[in-house]
Amino acid sequence: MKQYLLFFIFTIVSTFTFAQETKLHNRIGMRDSRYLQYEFTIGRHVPLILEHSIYSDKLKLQHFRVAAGYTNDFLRSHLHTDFRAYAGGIWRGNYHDFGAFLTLGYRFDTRQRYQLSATLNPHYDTGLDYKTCVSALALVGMNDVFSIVAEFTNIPEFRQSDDRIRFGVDIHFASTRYGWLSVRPLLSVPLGQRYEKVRVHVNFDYAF
Amino acid sequence: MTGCRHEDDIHITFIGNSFIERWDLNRYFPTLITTNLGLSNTGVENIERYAGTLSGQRVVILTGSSELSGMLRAIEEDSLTFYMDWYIERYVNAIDALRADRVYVMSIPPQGKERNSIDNPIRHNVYAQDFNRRIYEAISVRGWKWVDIFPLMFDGDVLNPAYSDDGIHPNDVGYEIMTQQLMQNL
Repeated sequence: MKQYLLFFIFTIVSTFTFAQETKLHNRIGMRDSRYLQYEFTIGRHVPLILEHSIYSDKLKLQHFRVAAGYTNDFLRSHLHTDFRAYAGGIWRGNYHDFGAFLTLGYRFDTRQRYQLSATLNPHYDTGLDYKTCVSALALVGMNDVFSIVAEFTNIPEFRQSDDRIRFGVDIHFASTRYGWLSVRPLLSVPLGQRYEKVRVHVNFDYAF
Repeated sequence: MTGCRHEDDIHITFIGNSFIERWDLNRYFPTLITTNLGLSNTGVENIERYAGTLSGQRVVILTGSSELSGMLRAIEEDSLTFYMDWYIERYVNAIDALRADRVYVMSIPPQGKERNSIDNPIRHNVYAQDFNRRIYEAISVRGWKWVDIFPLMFDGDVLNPAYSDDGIHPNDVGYEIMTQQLMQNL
C-alpha cells in the first residue's frame, strides 16, 4: 500500500511542479466536505484530476480517484460539454470503482448567471456492481457574486447511491490576476428517508 | 461483472430501533456496503421479522432501550430481573434465528436529563447497566462481539449532553463515537 501512496504523492507533486513550469491551468478544491481535489488542464481542454478522501479514518481506508477527460464550449460559450472518465478505490484494496461523468450544460447569458446542466454517470463498484446515476442542476445568479443552486442527483456522495435534492448558494469571485474562487455550501436532503440523514456539504474550488 | 468482487469487501446489515434507523450509515461508514433495517418504535420483534434471512452475513444489532423503559414503568421492582432475563432470552433467540455469520451486539446507551418524559434517567441508567451486563453474559458464550458504547456516552449518572440533543438519540457526535467503537471491533 505504501508504494501506491508514495506514487500518488509523487504524482501530485510532480504534476503540480510541471503545471507551474508550463503555466497550465490549475485548480484545487474540495468536494462534498470529504474529498480534496487537484486538477490541471492541458491545452484548455484536457483536465486531469487527482482526488483523495479525508474521512475520519485510517489512511488505508481512504478513497482515491484519478480522472481524465475533455471539456469544451460551443455556441459562443452557451453550450458547455464535459467528459471525465475515472478510476479509484481505497488503499486497502477492498473495492475499486470506475465510471465516467458526461455533462451537458447550457448558459442562458454570457455572464453565466443562469445555467442548466445534466450529468450522466455510468458507475461500476466492484462490490455494488453497475448503476447508472444522473444529476440535473439549475443555477440562478442573484448578482456577480451570489448564485442559488438546486440539484436532483443520485450520484453517490459516499459509496452508496441514494436519491437526493441538494440546494444552497454558490459564492464566487473572479479576478484576472488572482484567479477564480468558488465556495458552495449545500444542504443535501434524502428523498424518502429520515430528516436525520440530511447532510451539510461544503464544496470549494480555487482555479489559478 | 460480479467476477471483479473482492473477497474482503465488507457488507454489514444493521438491525434495531430508532438508533439504527437514524444512523446515516453511508456517511459514517463510507467504505463499507451497509443495509439499514432499523425501525423506530420497535424492539426485538424487528429482529424476529428477519429470521433466517441473513444467513452468512455480518449483522450489527442495537435495540432494547424502549423495552427497558417500558419495564421500569410497568413492572414492580422485585419482578424486574425476571422480566429482564425473559426479554434477553427472547432477544438472543431472535438474533440466533437470523443465522448470521458474525454478530455485533451494541449495548444500550444511557439516557439523558433532556428527555421529556416521566422516566427518571438516573434510575433508567442504573438498570441499563445491569441490563447490559446480563445481555453481555448471554451473548458472550455464543461468540458474538460485544460493542460497549454505554461507558463512552455516560457522564456522571446520565448521557453526556454533548452526544445527544434530545436526551435519548445520538446526535452527530454521538454517532461518531458509536461508529469509532464499532469500527474497532469489525
